[in-house]
Amino acid sequence: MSLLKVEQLTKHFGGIQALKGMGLSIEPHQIVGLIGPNGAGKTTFFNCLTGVYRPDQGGVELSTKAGTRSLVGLRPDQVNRAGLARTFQNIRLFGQMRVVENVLVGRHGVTQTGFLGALLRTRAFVAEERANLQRAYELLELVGMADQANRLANNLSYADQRRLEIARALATEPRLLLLDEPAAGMNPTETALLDRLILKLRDELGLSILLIEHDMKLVMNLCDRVLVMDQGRDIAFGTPAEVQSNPAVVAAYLGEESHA
Amino acid sequence: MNLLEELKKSLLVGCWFVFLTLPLVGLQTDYLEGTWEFKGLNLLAVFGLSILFSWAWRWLAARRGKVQFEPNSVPWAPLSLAQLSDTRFLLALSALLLTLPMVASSYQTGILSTAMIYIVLGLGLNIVVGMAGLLDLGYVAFYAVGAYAYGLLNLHFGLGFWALLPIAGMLAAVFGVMLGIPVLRLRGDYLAIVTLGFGEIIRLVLENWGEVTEGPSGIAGIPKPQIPGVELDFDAQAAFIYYLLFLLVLLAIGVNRRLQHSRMGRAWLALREDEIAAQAMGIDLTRTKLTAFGLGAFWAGIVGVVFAAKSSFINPASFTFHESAIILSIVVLGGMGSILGVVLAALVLILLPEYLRFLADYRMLIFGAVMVLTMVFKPEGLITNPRPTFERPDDAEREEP
Repeated sequence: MSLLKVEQLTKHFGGIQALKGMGLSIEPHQIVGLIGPNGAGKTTFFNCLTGVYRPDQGGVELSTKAGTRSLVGLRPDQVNRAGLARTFQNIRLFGQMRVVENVLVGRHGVTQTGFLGALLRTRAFVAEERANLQRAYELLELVGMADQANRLANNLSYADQRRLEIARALATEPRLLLLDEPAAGMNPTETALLDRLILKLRDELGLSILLIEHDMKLVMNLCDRVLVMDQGRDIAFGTPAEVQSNPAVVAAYLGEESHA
Repeated sequence: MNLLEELKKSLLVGCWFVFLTLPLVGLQTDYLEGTWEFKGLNLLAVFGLSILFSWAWRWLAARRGKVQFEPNSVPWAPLSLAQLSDTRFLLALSALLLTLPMVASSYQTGILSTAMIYIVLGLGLNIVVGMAGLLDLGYVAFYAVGAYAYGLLNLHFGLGFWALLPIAGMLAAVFGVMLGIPVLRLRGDYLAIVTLGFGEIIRLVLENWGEVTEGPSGIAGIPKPQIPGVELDFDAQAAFIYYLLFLLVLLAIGVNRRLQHSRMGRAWLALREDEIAAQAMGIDLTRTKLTAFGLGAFWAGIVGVVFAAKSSFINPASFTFHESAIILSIVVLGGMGSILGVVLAALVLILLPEYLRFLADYRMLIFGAVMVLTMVFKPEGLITNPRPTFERPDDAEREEP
């Protein structure tokens, strides 16, 4: 049974049809790359999956512990709690908070002590805070940032900010992780580290990952499946090798021969 | 920097100011005789002073780059932040504050009580503006709700001070949530305008709904808090309110501190930093915003009751936009989200005008200058970045049941 199933997703903004019937199916423990030329609708697709936009039509179904659940019409926080976490293309960290606090914020949806617990410092509250902090440090260690836990997020290097976004998303205990251009702005060494991190997420944490990326080398190395988008449609889906030799993909990227 | 360059800049500034002020101070017209007189001496004074000020300004600006403040220092304070939060220092300060009403005049007790009212108001607004980042320009409305809740419920139903303290707090919180619901989707400037309007609505209702609120003439003779079986004279009464406020300040600080470092407080901060990212991390925006509005208003409601009891007379004139602006200044001057900052800023902004009464004519001028200077030289407020540091919990300890 697939983990995420998207069918016939459409979305328009005014007269522009940004998505014209996208489909996708992700299996557990799979890394899927989403590629396509600029303006193909990749980020719009992400935003429709995560509840930022409400799709006009179509279905999004995530299999959760409590059975299959439709994500259409849910708010972003509800989507997150259902088990789908994301990072942002234009980094959106909580800049004036410490690195470890950013990760702690991610624990919000998976914890519950409320107002009274915090006021009275109940045993449950203290235990939960402690467990949260422990988990936050584990995740920072995973992305290799435990030594920077007490820096302000604003003061991090670009690559570290991207990695912190991943740690923060992981803190929400997702089943599927959506990464929007995780390697943007990274140098080759940092990209190689990221490559290894993403593999670790699949192999050690058992996550499934859907990532938008323009770095073709990274995508072809890393992904089990690649989905190619062009002009709001999925035009190809398959293993990296299959996709690379697909004439429709070549046409979308390089233009068709008749037009050249 | 070389001297010639400096001189050129200063001359330029001087000429510019002479040009700017020429029609105001340089020319005096006599409209009866239809003549005008040239005041050279005035212009010379403007020229000299502007050169002096521009020099001083640039000297300060140059120094600002060189002098490294410690991250959490208060630049003008004789004590460092570490010393300020030292337990012994706090104990000594508390002891001093506790003995004050016994030795000082009731005038001193009175103005310190007022300052403490503003500390609690500042701490309440700090939740909304400082932590959750929701710019609220009508905060005084909740203060009014608290004060009028005491005034009216006491007048009509004879409810006492102690019963109304929590009731007024709850009522203000309900009003806070009521304001919060329609503005859930608003941010920044738009939110500020709506909250400003809300504050005015409450004041106008109080002013014009005469049958219920007694209108502009207000409510007089509001009883002071009583201790059963004890007769308090005027001074003792003032001291009692002083102690009550002292306790309220401690309580507000404690509650704010604990909330700030909890799941809820982090959600507020995340909301302030980036609403979209906060929501993507599983934070329910509606709930988080409404709790911030409600809790912030709660403190204003409680302290409104104390204000009504302290002054024993309230009318809508006490709850104008000016008050909201002062409370907001306290939060901004103190440093967004900083509890110690709010306390310091409230003391500065409320006590200084009292002690500098001989300069009363220039009060708003000084107030404005202080705000401008703070924003230029310490734009994050007096105390910056109050976030704590975290240590990794010990694995061994965690194993224990």
